[in-house]
Amino acid sequence: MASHLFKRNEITKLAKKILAMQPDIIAMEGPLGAGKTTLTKAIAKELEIKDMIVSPTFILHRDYPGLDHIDAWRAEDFSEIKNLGLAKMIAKKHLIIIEWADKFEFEIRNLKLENRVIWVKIEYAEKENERSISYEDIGS
Amino acid sequence: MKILAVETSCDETCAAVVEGTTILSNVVHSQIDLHKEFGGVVPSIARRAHEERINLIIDKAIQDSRFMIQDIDAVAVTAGPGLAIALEVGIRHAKELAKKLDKPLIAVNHIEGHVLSVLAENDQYPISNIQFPALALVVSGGHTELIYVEKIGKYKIVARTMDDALGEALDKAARMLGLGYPGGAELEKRAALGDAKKYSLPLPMARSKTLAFSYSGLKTAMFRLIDELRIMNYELSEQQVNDLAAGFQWRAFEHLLRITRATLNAQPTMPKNLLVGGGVAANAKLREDIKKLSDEVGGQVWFPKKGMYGDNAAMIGIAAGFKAQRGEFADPEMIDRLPRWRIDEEMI
Repeated sequence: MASHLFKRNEITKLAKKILAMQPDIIAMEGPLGAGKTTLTKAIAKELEIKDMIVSPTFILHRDYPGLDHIDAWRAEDFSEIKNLGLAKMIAKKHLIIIEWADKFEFEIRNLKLENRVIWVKIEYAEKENERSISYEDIGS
Repeated sequence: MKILAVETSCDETCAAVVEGTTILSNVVHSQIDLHKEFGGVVPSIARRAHEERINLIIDKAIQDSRFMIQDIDAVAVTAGPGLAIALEVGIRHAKELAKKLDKPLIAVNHIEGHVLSVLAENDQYPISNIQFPALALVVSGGHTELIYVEKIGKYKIVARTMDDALGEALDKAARMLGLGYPGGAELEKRAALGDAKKYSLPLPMARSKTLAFSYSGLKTAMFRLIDELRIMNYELSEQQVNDLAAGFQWRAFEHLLRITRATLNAQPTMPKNLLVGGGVAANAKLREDIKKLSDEVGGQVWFPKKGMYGDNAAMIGIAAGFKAQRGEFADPEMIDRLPRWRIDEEMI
């Protein structure tokens, strides 16, 4: 999977590119402070969501019109993510963004059987305002 | 009116008995040890721990109050905001208890509890000194909010975080430094030994006029700084950890204070009196900084008494007492958890 360098001001472009792949689920991985929530904000903006997107870490899951934002960091087992109502979110045709998806890589990758899952990996790059980011449709 | 209050919104199992603003008992069972190895609250573990303890905690709260369960006039419970599966435990037990005792049920907003925690009777100041309107600052692991309190029961959020809560940012910084959990308290200890200005970390939103909090940029800068230092000498020295902790805490608090100052000065009509609540306010350095700010703007500031910074049920009981006076009771058949309930929203 090829990574590309993105500057801070290119985040809208990235959000558009990811959304153009028509994802049902966007699985995000990347270290603390890399910009997972920031990218989620940009995606939400493209979806014309007016609510303020804030970190879901504390309560695990926040829902917005058309978007469910999940943080897997504090979950110990994938069943907890399911218990947030994952099936319902999928049925609602909401876009689902899962941060720290690498914690449950196997289970989330398996969701590709019935959903279009885009896997986004964010890494710090050399320059402060840049990130090395890869994104791919893991079903194709 | 004696109120039995229950609070399970996160990782403390709490019950208390209050009468008005007098606390008759306040029992807090912390689950810190259970969550330590995961470096944060694990919701499913929190739920199990609440389930296992809640009856004991409620019994202890009754016992400590020196009253009998039959003397209770109402049952109060936190309905939100918080972790859904943790809130559910408290709500279910409170509901059952209210039914069994045939007493009214009161649903309380957790943030309102923190805002009103300064109203607990104490030997530091007479609570009749507290005047409204006032500005409340709630800082905890899940919340960073400035709230305009027109009077008890009437609130408007004036600033809140756009990403992480202050306590969450402190916890994450502590994690980057390899400190234990809960991170905020560890970070405070190490920060006291460090030089805050040794390394250069940015002040969040330094040029912005927006009344809002943001910690994501500071978190990113911290990650990069640690990364650079590690490239130079693989492991951080104890002194480097202390200096980094001090630097992060300094900038995080400076941002909080700058936005609080800007809010206090935003309009001439803005009250200058501050009510402070939430677990991060247990940080002595932060309280000192807030006191200085309060003196600077010529206002007064109130902090909760010891034991009432972090989550507790006494503050829920106090808020419930005022709701009862206003006749705001909950229907036990309808009450549900509200994980994102804002203090300035009606219960839906």
